[in-house]
Amino acid sequence: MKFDDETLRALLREEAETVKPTGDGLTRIQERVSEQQQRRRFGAPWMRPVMAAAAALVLVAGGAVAYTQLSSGGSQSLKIPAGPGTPSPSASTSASPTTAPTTPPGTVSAVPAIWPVSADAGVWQTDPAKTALHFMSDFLQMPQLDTVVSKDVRSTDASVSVGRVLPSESRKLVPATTVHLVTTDGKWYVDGATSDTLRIDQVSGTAQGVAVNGHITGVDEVIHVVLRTTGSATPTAQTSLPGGGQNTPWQATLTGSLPTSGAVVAWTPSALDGAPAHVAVTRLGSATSQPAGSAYPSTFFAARDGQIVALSSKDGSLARTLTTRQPGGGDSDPQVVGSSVYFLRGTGSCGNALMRIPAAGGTPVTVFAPSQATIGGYGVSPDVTRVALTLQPCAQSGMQSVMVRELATGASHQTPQTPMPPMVVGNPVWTPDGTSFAGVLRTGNQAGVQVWPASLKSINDGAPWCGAESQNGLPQQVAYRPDGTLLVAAQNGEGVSVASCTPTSFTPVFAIPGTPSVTGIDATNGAVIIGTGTGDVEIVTGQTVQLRAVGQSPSW
Amino acid sequence: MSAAPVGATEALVVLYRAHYQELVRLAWLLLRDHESAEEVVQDAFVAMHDSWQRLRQPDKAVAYLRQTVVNRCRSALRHRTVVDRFTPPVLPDAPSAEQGALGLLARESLMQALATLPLRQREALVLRYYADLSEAQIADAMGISPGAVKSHASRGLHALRELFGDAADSPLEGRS
Repeated sequence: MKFDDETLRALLREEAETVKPTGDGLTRIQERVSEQQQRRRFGAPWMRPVMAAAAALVLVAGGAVAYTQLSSGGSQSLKIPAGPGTPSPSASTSASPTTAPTTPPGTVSAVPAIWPVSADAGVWQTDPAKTALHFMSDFLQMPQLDTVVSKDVRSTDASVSVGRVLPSESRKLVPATTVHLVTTDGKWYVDGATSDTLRIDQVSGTAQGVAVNGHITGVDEVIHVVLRTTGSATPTAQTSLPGGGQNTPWQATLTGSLPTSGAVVAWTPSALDGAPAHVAVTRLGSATSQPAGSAYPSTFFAARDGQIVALSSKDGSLARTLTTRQPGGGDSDPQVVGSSVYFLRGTGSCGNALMRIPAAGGTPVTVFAPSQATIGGYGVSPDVTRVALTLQPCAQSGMQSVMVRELATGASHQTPQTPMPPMVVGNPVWTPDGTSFAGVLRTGNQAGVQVWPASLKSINDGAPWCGAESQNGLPQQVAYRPDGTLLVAAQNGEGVSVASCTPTSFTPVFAIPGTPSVTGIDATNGAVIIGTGTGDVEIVTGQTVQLRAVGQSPSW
Repeated sequence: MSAAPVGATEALVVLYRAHYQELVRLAWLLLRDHESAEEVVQDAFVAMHDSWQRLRQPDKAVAYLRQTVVNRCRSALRHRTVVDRFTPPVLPDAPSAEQGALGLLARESLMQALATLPLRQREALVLRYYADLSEAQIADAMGISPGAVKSHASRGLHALRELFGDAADSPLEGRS
């Protein structure tokens, strides 16, 4: 008999190794922990320290949200907003039932949140954990933080701990931040993010800029502080400062003014590889998300038979005709900016002009008529101060330049005229904050989406967006949603695909089969309006076509 | 960055990844029921999360998990003893085809023999020979003294040897 220790050890190990855990153990444990916490909960713990500071109250669907807006000597301060769904003694005592807005039946009030602004951001928006991960990659541009460490989901709010597996031998999973989310309509919105060791306490607008105060626990840290404005894909301002210690205060001052809607982000890099190790995000005052159903204006503008027309978004019926047919030329490419409609007016030969007409109707005026050149595409900045144009000279066919022109003064700068391709096709579209514009750069048989700074000196100054060119068809037109999401309409072998983009990703939203091209695209946070090469205009929410009408180059 | 205090939820994930499988297997060796083994271990993790403020350290948490698993297996077996009086015995999970017949026979024999041992002796042997714990760690997990561990392990081992005897056709023959 050889019944020794090693035999016993080996047999037990072999027997044990026949057991394979089912794989969902962690989820089950987390759900049970969450249930326990929910039973015990009187309020989300991360919100408690700031509840006492609440002084003003905004009631929204799904719960009470309190934040302060203190004015003193011309400066404005915003303290960390308490999240929704949090019972707040000060809020409940200061709330007057008569001042609380009521929610009409069938509609949903605005949600106080940083991101996404739309209720149609993607299928993932119905899942708080996926929304948190998209927030990290799409809004914060921190794709390294790609793992959900834990989640605590309640009826109207959720907390999702997000982190990453360290690229060291330990392969240890470490959390970097806890993302706080709210929901009222089955969709989730990010309201902020907190860290155990990095805190944002106060954000103030001062004469010197935007002051951000917080606390940090750690050693030899660099703190990066970033100011983001709602609707802008790029940071409004950013700075870095040393910081460290045990619950040590820090202060950063960012250039510029305090946006009325946006977020402040503070983060520290990992000593291992510089990736974000601790992240805190605070919503600024009035940032809200547009819920489902609100979608789009009742009227859109389009070109039809050489005229600019206003059409009903409901049934496509003609609301009014804004321009009359021009002998020899035609009006095209309407773009709604504020209360005006801009459009291009052809002359019947080389050369055209950028025009403007009140959306309600009136007399068109010339905004810019280039000398001996044709405007190929244009885009007016959201603040109506500048226009970006592509110009093709009449005297030298096959050449192109890009111009940025001040509307008030006529001052302009432009890139050198260069042979096409490479060339910018379609209309350049400004980012919602007006600092840069996006468009399609075609080079030979390929085309890619680029974002150029307003100060560009060459068409090569752009930064690529939407990932690898070759995998996503042939981009033709781009549009920004008001929340800063870049949409691209790309032609592929089967029709046109509309996708949302980050610099590195291309996520299809919907497709229109059978159309060879796109005449224009515009978008609200909840809907897309697109003109197809077959002469149709379609309004699409999610993947549902709400309207199909006759027209070209639609705009809201 | 200094070592930041680890939160309960973060610790839960880290400890799950490092120890869940090993603990389920430990519970399986004591219970011989996969579903119950996972439930017991999940119970232990939930309890650990609740007790994190007191534990704070991963090594303490692992010891706590082990102790909780052993305790809950014990409770489950006691419950099963009652239930088993009214229900037919459940056969262990069917082995896979590629497992060697001799090894399978040896393991089955061993597991059946283990099942006949008093619970404390079984725990002591599994914790020593599967979990490779020291006497002090086993004592901690079982909630008894190291001396008692030595005694239970010794008796258990002796009982196994008696059960298998010195027969030449013992399934354990030739495995050393």
